[in-house]
Amino acid sequence: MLKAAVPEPLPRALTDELVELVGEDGVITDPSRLLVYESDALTAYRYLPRAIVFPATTEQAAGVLSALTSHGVAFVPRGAGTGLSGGALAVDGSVLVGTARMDRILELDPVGRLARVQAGVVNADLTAAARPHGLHYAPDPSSQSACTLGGNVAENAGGPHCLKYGVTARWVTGLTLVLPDGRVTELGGWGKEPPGFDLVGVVVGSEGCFGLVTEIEVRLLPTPAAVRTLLAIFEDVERAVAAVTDIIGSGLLPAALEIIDGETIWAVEASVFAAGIPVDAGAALVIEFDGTDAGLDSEAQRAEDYCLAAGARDVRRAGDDAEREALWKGRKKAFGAMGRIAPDLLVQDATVPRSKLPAVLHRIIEIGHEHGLRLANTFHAGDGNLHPKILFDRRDPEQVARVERASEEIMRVCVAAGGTITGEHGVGLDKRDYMTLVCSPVELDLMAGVKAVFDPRGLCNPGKVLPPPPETRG
Amino acid sequence: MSVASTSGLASAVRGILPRKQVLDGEDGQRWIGSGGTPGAVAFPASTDEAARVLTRASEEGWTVEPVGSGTWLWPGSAGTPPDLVLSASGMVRVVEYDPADLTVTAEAGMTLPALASLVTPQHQWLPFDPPGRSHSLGAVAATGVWGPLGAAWGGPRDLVLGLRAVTGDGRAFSAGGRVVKNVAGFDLVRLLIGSRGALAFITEVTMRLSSLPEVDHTLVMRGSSLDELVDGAVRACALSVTPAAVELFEREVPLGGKSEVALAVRVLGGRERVDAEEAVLRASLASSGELTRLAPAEADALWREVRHLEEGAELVLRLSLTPARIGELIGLAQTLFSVAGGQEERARMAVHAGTGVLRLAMPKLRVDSGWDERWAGRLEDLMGALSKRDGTLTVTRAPAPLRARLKGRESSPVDGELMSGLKAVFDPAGILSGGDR
Repeated sequence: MLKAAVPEPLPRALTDELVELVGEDGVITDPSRLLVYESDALTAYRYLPRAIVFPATTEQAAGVLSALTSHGVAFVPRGAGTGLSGGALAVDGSVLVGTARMDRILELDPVGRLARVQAGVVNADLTAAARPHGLHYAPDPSSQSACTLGGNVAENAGGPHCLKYGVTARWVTGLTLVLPDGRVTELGGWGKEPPGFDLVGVVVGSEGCFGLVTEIEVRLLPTPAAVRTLLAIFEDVERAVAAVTDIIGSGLLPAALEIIDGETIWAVEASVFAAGIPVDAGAALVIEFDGTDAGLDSEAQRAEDYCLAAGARDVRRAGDDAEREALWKGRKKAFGAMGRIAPDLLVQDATVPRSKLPAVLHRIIEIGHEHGLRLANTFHAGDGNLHPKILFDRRDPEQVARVERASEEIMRVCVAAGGTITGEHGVGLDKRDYMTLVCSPVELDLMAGVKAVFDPRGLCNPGKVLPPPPETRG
Repeated sequence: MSVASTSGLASAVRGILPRKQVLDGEDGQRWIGSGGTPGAVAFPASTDEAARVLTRASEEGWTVEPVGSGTWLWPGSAGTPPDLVLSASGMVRVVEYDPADLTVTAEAGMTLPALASLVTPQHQWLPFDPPGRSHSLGAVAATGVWGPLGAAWGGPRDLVLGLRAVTGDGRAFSAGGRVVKNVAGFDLVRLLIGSRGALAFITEVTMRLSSLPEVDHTLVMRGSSLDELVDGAVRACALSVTPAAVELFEREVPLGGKSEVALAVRVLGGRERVDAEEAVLRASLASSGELTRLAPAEADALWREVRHLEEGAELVLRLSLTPARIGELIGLAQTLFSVAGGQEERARMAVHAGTGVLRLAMPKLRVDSGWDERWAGRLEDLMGALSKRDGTLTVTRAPAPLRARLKGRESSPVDGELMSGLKAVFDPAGILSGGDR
């Protein structure tokens, strides 16, 4: 796929200015040390940045952005680099602005159930810090042990438990945003109803294109008093999806409803993350309920009944925390387990109305066959959010071309079913050319207009999210 | 505006829309809260018609006030009447409703009660109870306002999945979609939610529905002191269970005329879960007083009363602080009463304890010499006191002379610049009113 040459070094004056702002060890310009920053978790794209700068505070970040902008140098905000859409790549000789040093939890208010963190705080670290107070941070992307809250804000990240609790935008109440020209603004704040438009709402999910978010205020939720986790084994994915539809239609509100297909089960069970799922199963449905202990058993029972009625061959309940952890590990580490099967993996991320899941899945499997590709599916079934994983070897250009064609067809199928091209991974570089599948020219113009309000010089994460204007497209 | 007379404007609009979809003269007055007469009131029947009207309005420079069914209009809400009122009330069709997906798309003029009668037979509901009655979907999206259920379900910014709308210069566009998770492009839905018509005229709304809960219980605590009730409300919001609503509110007591404050807690879901949560609530709040479960009809009446608190009131305020500080919030509201000297007897309040919002409604202000100046002073003081505590005051409704004295709340210079930039993207001619409304 795409790989750029070694970019031009930064002007000396700019490097000096950046070093002055963040110290010698906060600026990396040596190409060999920059190599680790050339891609994100979507390894198909690689761009070597001109440099990476690590501000530790909002003030330093403001200085850094102001310096870059005044030299007319484009820059890209970057968290942990776990994104799956090529959003944090330094295309066209950009400089990366990393949040790794902004890793402090600034305030944790257990009474107000509120935390204020720097953008580089790791998602799981916030929950770990909140746990002694009986609280947690709800959005739990599969990469939560590595991904940062700044990255979560940029992508409006989800996760399995978003079925009940909602995605990042639901829990972010305030932001400190450094605009590309270095000006700093405080947006929102819990307990405030600021006048005017919902700027927090529009910055969340803006994929680092509007400036650098340096601090984030989030609401925390009580840790559920009790949890019940079920695993239902099905012969095929269709039956698992039917069970999901029945469960949700019944008024039950599970905290999570996750399906992994036979191919994924096989990979997981053959890996160190084995969860004890029969390898001949066509699909496994993970169902989790949380809340007060008393009501949970009957809810779990009802869900079990729906699964059996839909044709489950077995329904198990995690007996203790260890079993529950193992079960979730199997689901959350499915991505890593795939490494056993093929050297490379393209994770698609599309959402369809839940009722369309069976038909769309069926078609996705066909697309895999048509292109001679191995394909595995894990998905947030309750939300209709699919993650088909295409297995391939990027050393084979012909295979890569087939992957790209299959991937595009999958997106077209999802859009035709009333869905969209990305549910939680973002558009980034990977899907910008497919934005025309879901947005009209007017909508793309409006989005470009909104970006230009925040970033009039077009220096902040250029070339992401929006397709290049038609006249410049090759 | 370039049309010489208002009748000229109306006839110009009649050239775009069928005649029966355009009102003018006195017929148009009911569509303006402030009194006065708009040049015309137009009722487009489709997104396309709305786009044609706005294209023309933008070319001509007509000022346009977007409205829904007109239930949120109130005296004193506006200054000069707009050239054109554009109402979505003629657009009431269901666009798409597939119960299995728990989403519904309807035209913006469909009212919440109409939506309820569509989805209830499918055992579904929209967990959303904003103040007022018969609001249209477009209006709830445009105002972004929510009610007691916001504690558990969030507001329009969480429940609206997609919109169709027309920019100030007549460009029709869609934002979001009809799936629960969607991050394809920048979030224009959240930008439009709460923008009060200043960016675009909303023509269709897609909302996320929920299955109707098996049981829906409302527990009430009354007879306790205000401090005990506040304490109970704060504790109800600090448990490991999240009630659907925790509301402290002042209700009229028919005999004796004085009001009393009560605490209402709503829990809903599966029967056993609700029973368990009720038990937790009763035990945790025992030191504040006793919780009594209401019969369904009483519960309905109670929540209706909360929704209708502001009905007919001349002055409506929204005070907000972080939820743990609702005691302070009530204290500040009471300070306003005491400086107002006696007029507060009939003022009523309701506090969304889970979200830290206090709504205050005063049915009638005593109008004597200098009243507006005095009230403006009191409100500015209150605004200052809240702002010192990191909270906000929003004047939702006020008589015109008072509104004229109140400075609009200003954003920081940077935010102000961002907002005017955004306004210019969507409404380059600057014809859409809205904003401080």
